[in-house]
Amino acid sequence: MKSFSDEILMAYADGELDEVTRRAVEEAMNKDAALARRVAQHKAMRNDVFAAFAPVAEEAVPPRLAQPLRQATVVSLDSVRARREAEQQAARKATRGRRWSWPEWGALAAMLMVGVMAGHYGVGMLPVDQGETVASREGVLVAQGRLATALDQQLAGSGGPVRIGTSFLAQDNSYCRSFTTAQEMSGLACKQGGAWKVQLAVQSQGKSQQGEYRQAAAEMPTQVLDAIDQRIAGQPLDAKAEQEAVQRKWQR
Amino acid sequence: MMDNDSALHEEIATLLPRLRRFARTLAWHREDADDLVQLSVERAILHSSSYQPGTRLDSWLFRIIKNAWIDEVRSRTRRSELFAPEEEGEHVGDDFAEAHQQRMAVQKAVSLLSEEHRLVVGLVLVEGLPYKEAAEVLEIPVGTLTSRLARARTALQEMLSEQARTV
Repeated sequence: MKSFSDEILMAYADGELDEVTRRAVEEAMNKDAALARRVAQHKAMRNDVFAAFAPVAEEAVPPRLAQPLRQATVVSLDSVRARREAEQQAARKATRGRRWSWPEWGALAAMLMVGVMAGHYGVGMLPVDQGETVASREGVLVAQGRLATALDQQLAGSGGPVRIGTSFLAQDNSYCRSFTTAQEMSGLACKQGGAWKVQLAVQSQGKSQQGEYRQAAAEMPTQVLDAIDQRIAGQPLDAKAEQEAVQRKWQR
Repeated sequence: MMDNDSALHEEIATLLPRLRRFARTLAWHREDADDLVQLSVERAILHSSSYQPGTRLDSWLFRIIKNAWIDEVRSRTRRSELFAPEEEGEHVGDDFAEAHQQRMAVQKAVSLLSEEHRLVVGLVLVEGLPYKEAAEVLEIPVGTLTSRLARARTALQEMLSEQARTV
């Protein structure tokens, strides 16, 4: 019987052999159980090594890695701005009525808000944990429950029902963070007077890509990015600055 | 030019999870691996004109990571800290813990391979590159890649059965 080197058996297990050699190995495997076992071992090793590192690809990507890919495209600030404004115009047209800004709506009681949204989106699309994430307090919308906890404790880019996009110091010297809830509501909240005041919230457009890689900033609606631009003083916080802010409970 | 660049950057962004995974096969520590990815992404942006459209973007990035690893990052990581004590199987019992332990054992074995063995294992077994593609990333002949891969697997096998005996 023809004997095969370990390298050939390995290449067979990896699907790397040409047709002729592949057939020859298969024929030999049928007759020789020991040979078949060695091939199985190569396959098992490949599976084990892949499985050992597979979870890494499921982790949330730290924002510092995605950051340069977003910033480096700024070749000329003016052209970028012009393009963004054009995009925003288009987005506004497309999402007319889908946008609501909390200052405008803030005066409405939460119940009415839910009613309006239910009418607008259909009950099926209504963020079911609305009451759990946002509450109206003296006419101002304040994050609570899961959203408040995430804003207080979660670092940008980390996973969970609520994802935090960018954290930054605003021109009014308060900390602000963009977020996306499990119901695909994205927005911006700023820590003012001991509470996370929701500045703006937008229902993200349609299709959720469950299980697929998503990048918090890439999926942020333009309105939220716009709101960040209007408020930000300097650069977004890096992981270290975020940690320090968490420890100080986001108070200056 | 700008639009080409931003399209490329977009594509690189979608590959970040895989770049991190590949980097983790080289550098054990998450922070070290992410430093490696960050440096490589910055280099990729800087040298984006050297990417040839139509070729595999992942391979191009893997090569940048490999070079960055060999040139700079490797020397800064501390092998003595490869395994913090709490990272070695502290949970025993249910299936989840067992699977976790198995993964840790394999990761540990990979981390103990030689540099060149870790590179071939990362490219072929973890990232699933065909031999030819992996050989091009490493700038070595396919024959060399094949024999390295075979030796790396043998070494892993030995380490893992060794571990199984001592546990």
